[in-house]
Amino acid sequence: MTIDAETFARASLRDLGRLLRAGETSPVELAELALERLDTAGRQLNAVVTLTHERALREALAAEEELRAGRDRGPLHGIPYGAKDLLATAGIPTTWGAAPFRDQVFEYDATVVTRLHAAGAVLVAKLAMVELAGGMGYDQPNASFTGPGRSPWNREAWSGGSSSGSGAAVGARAVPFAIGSETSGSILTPSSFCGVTGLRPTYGRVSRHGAMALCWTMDKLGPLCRSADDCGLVLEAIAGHDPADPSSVARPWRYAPEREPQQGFRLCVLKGGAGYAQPDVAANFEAALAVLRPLATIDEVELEELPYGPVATTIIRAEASSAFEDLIESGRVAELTAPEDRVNPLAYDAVSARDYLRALRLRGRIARSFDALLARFDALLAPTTATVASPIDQRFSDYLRREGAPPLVPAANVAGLPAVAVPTGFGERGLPTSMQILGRAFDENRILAVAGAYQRRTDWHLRLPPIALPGAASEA
Amino acid sequence: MAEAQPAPDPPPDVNGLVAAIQARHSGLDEQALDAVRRGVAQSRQMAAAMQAHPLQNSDEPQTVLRVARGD
Repeated sequence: MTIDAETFARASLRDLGRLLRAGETSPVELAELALERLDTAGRQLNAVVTLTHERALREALAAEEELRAGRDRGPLHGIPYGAKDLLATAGIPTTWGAAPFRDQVFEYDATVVTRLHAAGAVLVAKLAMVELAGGMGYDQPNASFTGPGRSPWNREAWSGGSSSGSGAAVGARAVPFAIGSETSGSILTPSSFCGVTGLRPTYGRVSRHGAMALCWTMDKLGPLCRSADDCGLVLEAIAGHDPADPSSVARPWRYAPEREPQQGFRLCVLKGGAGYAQPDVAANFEAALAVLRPLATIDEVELEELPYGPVATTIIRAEASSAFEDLIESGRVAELTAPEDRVNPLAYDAVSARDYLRALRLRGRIARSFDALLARFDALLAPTTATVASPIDQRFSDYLRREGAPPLVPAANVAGLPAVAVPTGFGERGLPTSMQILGRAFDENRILAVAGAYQRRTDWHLRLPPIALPGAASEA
Repeated sequence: MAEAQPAPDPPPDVNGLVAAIQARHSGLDEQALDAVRRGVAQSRQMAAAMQAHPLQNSDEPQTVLRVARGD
């Protein structure tokens, strides 16, 4: 019973499940492979905070015994995974990526971790993240006490954030999947920069209980995986109402990717094209549309003119300044890694209660406007990020911001809408490009169907960076 | 799609807000104060951008409350 590192790196969740049930590998072997890859490749990318050896072995042995006894918990049974280090795990440090919390230990598991345990998944690592999920306004990659997150495709490029370790560990194929969080871009950006498939679920689809709160009304948890199909399998395990999270919705969800409709998908793109993006990003997006065009109608639409960015930023600043009031007021904010994170939150005091409430009131307008727009379509498509990953030593304000880029990330996050990011090719410095597939609230199955249709016709999501296969050439 | 543009000039209340922050957090050097000033100005510009979009009295804030009853 043994599988090689390449099989481990390439396998989908369904592949791994077949190998486990055929006795060709075991949960313990998979956990050990993941731990070894995280300890080598993962550490080179600053993707790891804590390897959870003891718990991993305990969970893997339990999964092994259950599978041998014919007690099958489903597609994640015996599969190793990593959790962003803002998810509470009993007895294991949960650092929130921030030096002031590096010794913090909770006595309970976050609901997501509990649900993955119930599904038989094996926790192998707490993965690195931008300190406090980026809520202090960081402007460069070195904003975590574990060091700047590095892309598996080029270590001199940023991994994206704030779910930096989740993106890098999945991109380096060190774990089959990881859990990340998004308040405004923190799943989609690392998915784009690390060349993985990431799903931001609808707000309320996944319980936030036990996850660090940055912004209660916008935080969402979701999977970063090797494919859209894998994302669906993981989401099914973690979705559902939780009495401990009042914002979680009582809408049971099963992964059932809709078949490609005979009359085709109804897709839309933003009027004006992707000319604001880097040329490679725009060209790869157009190529992705060409793949989908035989399966779909693709119309052009315009977002209503609303202050999407100001609403998102106002809500995040107001809630973050409350969530981290003790840290800010005690002066311990000065212990954060990024110099700008030590000072920026002081200015959050300038958001008045009236500003905050105005933002929350405008949010209703934005949600209704988006819903009216998307009601006619299965999904809206756009480049996930306007650029490839920024150089590791460069400020975001100098590289990532592009004139004319639509504010889709803040807009969709304010509205709580789901999106899946899929790799579309490569751009400058050999770095991956990505397309986001954005849907109506609770339409995860529909956007996963579009993503699955795209991934059945392309192989970008199957390409591996050299770090995934030591000694092999890049497949970029 | 063009987003509503923030006001070009810093709103007049920026200096007062910065002074209040400075009074609460002692020991801020010039560089830190500049960063605070930029952050405050940005917040006020965002507030102005939001005020440019009128709301009805019936536009309620989108919040979540878990009503508690301890029996």
